[in-house]
Amino acid sequence: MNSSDVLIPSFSKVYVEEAIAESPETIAILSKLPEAKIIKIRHYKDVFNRKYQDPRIQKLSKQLILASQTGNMIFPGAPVCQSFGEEHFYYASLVMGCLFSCDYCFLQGMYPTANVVVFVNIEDYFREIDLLLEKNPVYLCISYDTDLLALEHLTGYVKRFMDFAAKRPDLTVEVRTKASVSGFFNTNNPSDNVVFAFTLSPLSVASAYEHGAGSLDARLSSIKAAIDNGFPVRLCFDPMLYVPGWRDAYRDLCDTVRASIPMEKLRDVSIGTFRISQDFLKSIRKQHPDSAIIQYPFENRDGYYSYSAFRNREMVGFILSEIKKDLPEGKIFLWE
Amino acid sequence: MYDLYRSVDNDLGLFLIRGTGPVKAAASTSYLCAKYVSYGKDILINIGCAAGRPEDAGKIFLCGSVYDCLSGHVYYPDNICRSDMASTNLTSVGATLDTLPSSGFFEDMGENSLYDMEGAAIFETAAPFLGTGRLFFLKAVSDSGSDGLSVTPDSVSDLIEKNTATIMGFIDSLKNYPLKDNGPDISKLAEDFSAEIHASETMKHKVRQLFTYLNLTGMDLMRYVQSLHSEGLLPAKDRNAGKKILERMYNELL
Repeated sequence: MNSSDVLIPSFSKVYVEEAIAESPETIAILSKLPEAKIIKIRHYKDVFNRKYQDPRIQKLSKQLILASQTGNMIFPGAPVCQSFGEEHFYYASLVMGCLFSCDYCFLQGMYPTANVVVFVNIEDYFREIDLLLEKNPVYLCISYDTDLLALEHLTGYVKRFMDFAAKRPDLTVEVRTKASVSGFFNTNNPSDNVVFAFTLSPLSVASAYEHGAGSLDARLSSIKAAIDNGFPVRLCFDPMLYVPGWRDAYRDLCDTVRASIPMEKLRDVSIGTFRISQDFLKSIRKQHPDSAIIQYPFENRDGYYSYSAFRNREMVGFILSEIKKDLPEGKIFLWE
Repeated sequence: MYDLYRSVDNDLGLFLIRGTGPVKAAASTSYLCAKYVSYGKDILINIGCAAGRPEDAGKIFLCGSVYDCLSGHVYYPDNICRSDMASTNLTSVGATLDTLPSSGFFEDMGENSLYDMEGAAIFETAAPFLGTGRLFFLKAVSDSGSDGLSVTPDSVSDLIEKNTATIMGFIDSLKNYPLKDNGPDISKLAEDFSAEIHASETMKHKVRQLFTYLNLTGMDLMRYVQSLHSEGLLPAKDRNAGKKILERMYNELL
């Protein structure tokens, strides 16, 4: 007997803040979950931030919370984030938590739960972005604290952002994903200022450590669909993860990518090794006592854990030399 | 002081809380958890009676939230296991139903809620020991508060007995509930090795993390440590020599 025989499916319970129970977004999302049991709550933090949660069990059956974000909506990019040379680099937290459960994901260190909160007041986010745009151009990542495309069937938020961005040339939006979403690209029109960034890992890493995410093949099919339909596409070899035989694994990955997609049509590529704040790593290690990838004895430099400087240079240098076979250096961004 | 019964295979414990009210419930739950509960492995199911709608009399519910009238907190057990039982909210009142507050969130919950005196106290006491994923509240409707029905030990026994099949079915399904895995235990090996290299606290931490990682990669640590003995490197003569051994391991094995 496995856990699916014992546990209810993900999103079969939806906690809904009373204040937004009747909002059009709430009604639209709930209409796509007709079997879900609805539980009214006062504030999402009453469920999301509860003490004594065990995310390891919750990951097997993630539940949904619908709420209104009344606090900060747009944040400056964190120091560990690749800014792609953009001066006004921000991220928006429309959803907290992810459908996928990657062993190394920083979200596990950031949140006390594996459940997912969707903020339904997306129009408030749009208003905040417009205020920022009055001051300067904005480069905005909307899929850092989640995988927004993986939730598109419920929220439609990526499409909403594409429509919003289409009328705002000073806004560039990045949507990062590990989802298998070819259908999205076959049924929507591209915008030049909405970039789809696909995180890629070697087959051995994706299958062992990226639970629930699209398989490598499925991600490559999605990338091909995006490129074929004219969407700007970024590949992220970030985070690169150290596994025994990493050179062969990343060489195979590059060969597979080359054979699957027209590299010359990529907008750019991002490269970086795994790094994480010390507080987050402690929490993630507790959740994954049996995951070699996260139990690696990282080095602490200025409050952030990563591989040794030598190992970082070695890994980045290796994949850089591979990618340079296909792309000019100007299209390659490094996090060092 | 308290009555605890165990099943023959030791899988199931039955702990009886005698008397009513949150103080007795918290005290006995605290005793049970401190003495018997193993975090990440045990599950606590609070089975009891509650007041509810007359049409639900005799029926048993799985409670999705527990509202504490005294503090105003709402507690949410994860309740992610499958169950055939209907789900509802539970409101825990300090004493009797006439003490209920008359406004706010409680009022909105009220119509669909069951009422007891112990649920919130048990949740608050047990959650640190078990986590929100290992607490379940099963409440059978014994009365409607003001319907004049007296709740006696015999009537409660009858009520629970009537729902025994449902309760046991639920307990059976939890036998396959996921356990918290603490990972492989390399602490003894790491401690012995640390002693042999005269490790400082920082070095001990490094040894523990290195050994945890190497063990997960499938490396035979015991054999590696033995090879260091064969080379005459262990035990190290002092901390400096120990540091060099640790450095060598980092260079060789990572």
